[in-house]
Amino acid sequence: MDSISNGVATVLEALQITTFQKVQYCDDAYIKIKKAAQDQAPFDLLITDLSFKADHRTQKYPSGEILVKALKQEHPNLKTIVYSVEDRPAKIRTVLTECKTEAYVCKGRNGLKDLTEAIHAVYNGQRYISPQLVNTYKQSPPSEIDDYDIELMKLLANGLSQEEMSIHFKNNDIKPSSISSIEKRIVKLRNHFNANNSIQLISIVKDLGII
Amino acid sequence: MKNLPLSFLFFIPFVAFVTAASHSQTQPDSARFYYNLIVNPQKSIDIPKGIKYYQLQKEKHLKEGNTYQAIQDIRLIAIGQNTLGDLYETETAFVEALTLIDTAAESDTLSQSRVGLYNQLGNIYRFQYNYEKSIKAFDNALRFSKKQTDSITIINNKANVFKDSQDYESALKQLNLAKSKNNISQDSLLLALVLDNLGSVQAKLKIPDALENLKKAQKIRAQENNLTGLYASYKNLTLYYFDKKEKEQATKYANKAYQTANTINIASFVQDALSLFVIIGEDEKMIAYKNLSDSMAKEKQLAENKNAFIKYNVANERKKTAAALLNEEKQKTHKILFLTIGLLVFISSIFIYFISKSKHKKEKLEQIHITESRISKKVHDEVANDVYHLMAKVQGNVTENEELLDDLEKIYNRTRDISKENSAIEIQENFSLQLNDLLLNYQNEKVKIVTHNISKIEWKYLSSIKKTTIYRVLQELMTNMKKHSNASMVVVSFQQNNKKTLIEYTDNGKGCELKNKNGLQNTENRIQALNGTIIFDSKPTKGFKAKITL
Repeated sequence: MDSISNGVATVLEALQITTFQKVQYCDDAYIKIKKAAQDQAPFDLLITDLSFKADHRTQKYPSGEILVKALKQEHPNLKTIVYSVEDRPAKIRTVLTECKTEAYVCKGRNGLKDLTEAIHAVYNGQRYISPQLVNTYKQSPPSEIDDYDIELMKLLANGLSQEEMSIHFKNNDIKPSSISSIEKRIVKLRNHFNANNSIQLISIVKDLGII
Repeated sequence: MKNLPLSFLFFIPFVAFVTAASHSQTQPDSARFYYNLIVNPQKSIDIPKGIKYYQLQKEKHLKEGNTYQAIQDIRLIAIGQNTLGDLYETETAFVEALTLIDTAAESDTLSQSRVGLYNQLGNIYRFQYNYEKSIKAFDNALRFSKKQTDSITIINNKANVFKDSQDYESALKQLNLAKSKNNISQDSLLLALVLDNLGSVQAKLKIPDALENLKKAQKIRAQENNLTGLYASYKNLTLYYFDKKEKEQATKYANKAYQTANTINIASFVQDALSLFVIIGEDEKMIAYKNLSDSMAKEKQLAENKNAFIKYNVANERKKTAAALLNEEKQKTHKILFLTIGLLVFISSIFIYFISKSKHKKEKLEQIHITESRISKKVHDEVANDVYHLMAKVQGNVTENEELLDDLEKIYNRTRDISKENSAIEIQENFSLQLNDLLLNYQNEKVKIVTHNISKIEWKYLSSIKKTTIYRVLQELMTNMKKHSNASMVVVSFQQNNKKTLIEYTDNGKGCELKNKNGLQNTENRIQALNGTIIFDSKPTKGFKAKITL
């Protein structure tokens, strides 16, 4: 814990930020921020982890997530950076959207470097997310196929032409049934299964046992 | 009013005769003999003799289950008791008959015997000065009556009630109705009865036909040797002449009435006959005495109204109470039974609860133990070994700073993976998105992941424990895939069948022999804990499949 906060302190010192306070508990942070706001000398930035080891002290704010959420409501001008080992996209998404934190920095080999960049960005009124998380955060979810796609690939495997498929879908009242939409689907499916052509697509899905 | 008790007395036998006549013809000779003892008594001993006979008959018939005959027996007992003037006993018998009809299965003959019973009931009420109820009873009798002769008798009785309540106009109406019935001339005694009554009512209303009717009735009765009837005729004639102030004629008929009463030899008749002399004697004190004793008798009767119906009701009530008590007792027994069963179930469920709890506790402990050893093994295999290697490297002093950092990052990532795999997961509202995020972690340039119908599943109907399990199992399958399979394609297919969720994992990796399930034993434990199934299917170079049903 201390080594981490020392790391953070090093970063702050390197940035020539001299006025900062370190606390071990979220509750303490909350009280200090409240008091500073009352004394007309509010804090500009909060850097917090998400999870803290629970001990004998009962906490009103047991996690950084809750602390940030509460402070963001009461002190909208306070900037926050979440600095955590957590790299699950779902978690990051909730922290970014629900807690409205300005920056999310993942602890790791480049953690401190990222933190420096995050402080710069936040200072300039921008948002920041660690580069290695940007991918997961922004990456499109796994491709989804449905029963229509399965049926389409079955027909393809049976050697039907796109015209014949279109007639088949029309006869069975399945939509979409136009040749152009069938063609688009096949292209999409080839893309999903990393296939160069329809023959390879059928081969892959046959091997997987999908059809 | 003064002639009331007697006019009552002689109607009863007549009714009985009419309603029972058709049956009496089929009775054996001894029965006929006893029947006559009751209906037409000649000596004072006759009626008690008859009553005794019919009591025995009643017992016999009841034993045989012949309710109809038993009711007939009871009716004759009632007639006998009534003639003896023992009202209380009459009522008792009457109650018995009604009760029998109530309890017996419905039949036409039984229903017919209601006519007689209602008729008698009407007479009893009349004797108790309960005119309203009496009229009602006669109306009931008329309702059930099918024979015209019966109806005539009942109408005549109804007229008597009106006469008692001094409503002579209504009485006259009823008697004219009775007289106009077609069949009346066929039964001379019935005709005499109606004529006699008609005469006495006409006398009260000062209608000139009165004497003619009275005499006609007396003549018929004399011919038929109907002593009780004849007595009534003499009495009515006495009163008729007394009202007309013809004292000589009145005394003559009073004497005749007294003689007849003596021949009948029944105390109540004799007493009634003697009272006639009091009336015509015109001795003020004697009349005062008679009026007093009459009104005292009435008072006594009213006070003593040990009404048969009340008694009947009381008996009914008692029966109901007994039934209720029995029922209560039964319910009590049931209650005790249910309580016992409930208690047994309760105790055994407590027992089962504790057993299963301790079993569960044991299983839980086992699970914890398994998890602990799994994690400890992982830490040992994946972290400790690497750290040891790194230590060796650093000792050898052959490492450069950058290389050392790379190694350290690898170890750091490993520990982070272990932590992620074992940290608690919060099930989010959008579970398919959460699953997608999970799968996304394993997708890269080398591995493509495709889901089938993941957004079609109604995740909100699944319990969170099931969702957690699905999450964990998929996580383990994907981790396994990433570590060992070299797969380039993964398909995760979802399906919902009734309440079951089917999940099929397929990859095109190098597959394996399924002999030892290595890391996948844990997924099996998880699924089985929720009564689900997981089936693995794999062969070297043929990819890997897992079918989960939950």
